[in-house]
Amino acid sequence: MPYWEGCNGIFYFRFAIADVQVCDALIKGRPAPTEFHQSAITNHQSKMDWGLVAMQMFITNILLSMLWGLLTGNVNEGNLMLGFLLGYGALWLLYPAAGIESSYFKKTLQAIRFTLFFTKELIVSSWRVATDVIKPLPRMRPGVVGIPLDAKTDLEITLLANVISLTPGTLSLEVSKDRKTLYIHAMYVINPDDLRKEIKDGLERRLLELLR
Amino acid sequence: MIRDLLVCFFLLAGGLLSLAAAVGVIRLPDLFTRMHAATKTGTVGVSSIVIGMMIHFSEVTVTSRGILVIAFFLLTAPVAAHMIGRAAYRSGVQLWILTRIDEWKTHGVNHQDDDDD
Repeated sequence: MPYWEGCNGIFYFRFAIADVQVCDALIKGRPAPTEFHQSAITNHQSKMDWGLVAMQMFITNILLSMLWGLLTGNVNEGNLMLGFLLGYGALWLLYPAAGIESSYFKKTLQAIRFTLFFTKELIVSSWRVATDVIKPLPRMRPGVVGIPLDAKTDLEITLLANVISLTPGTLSLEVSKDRKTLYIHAMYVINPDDLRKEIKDGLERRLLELLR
Repeated sequence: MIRDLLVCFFLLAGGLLSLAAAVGVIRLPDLFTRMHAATKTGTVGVSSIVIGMMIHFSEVTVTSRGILVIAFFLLTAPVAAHMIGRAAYRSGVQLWILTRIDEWKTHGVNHQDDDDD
């Protein structure tokens, strides 16, 4: 039997059980009807709803890992982590049954990607600042630059300002009163427009992708 | 062997970054550029040392605590930097003479008048 046969089986299983509404009740802990899920789909844009669904899945995942720990009678960190991973896999298999496109799995991937990207930024720019500090003639071109914000809610703006402050070389100073501009102090302003583009295309786009 | 090398690398990198941060506080010209060196390069330096420690011990309890240490560092450092920078700018600390551009001043609302929020 070719090796992918088994994979097909898993994928088939994953979508076959999508029809079984019982699984829905099993995951959600509530009877199958889809009113809630429909509203979750239609209100997909409003952040509250996907947040709720993803949060529910996260809590379910934690409960599953605790269950795993209790069932195997071995509640230490390693085993709980294994339980969490197994629970994640189980949820991934079962989530089409819930009848919704939960963002939980996509978000996990995006979160990992964002962390990697951010770590890269952190290392590159702290290297730049550190070497520049030691050079006999620092090549700084500091400046205060206003960045037009696409981030709307308090959470988005706060996180963006925090991430910008964390990256060496940029420091967020102030959000304008109409919440449309974020003023940052940057160490290397060769061209303000380039800096704006760099932050909007890099950090802000990725952060908003993750949050929305 | 490989692990020792990794530990050495992270500890040395962390130490050097912290040193650079300290040098930067002395050498850089004004408050804002000094904040860059002091808060962030320092944060990365400490994180790197903690990572080295985590690799050295390779125990779940140490690792989880190390991750928490880094997480709280990353959570608190930018807030402090942001507040100090903002307060300094608002209370009229001068930017370095060679600062090229100040869009807050040119485009922004007059920042003296709006500290009621």
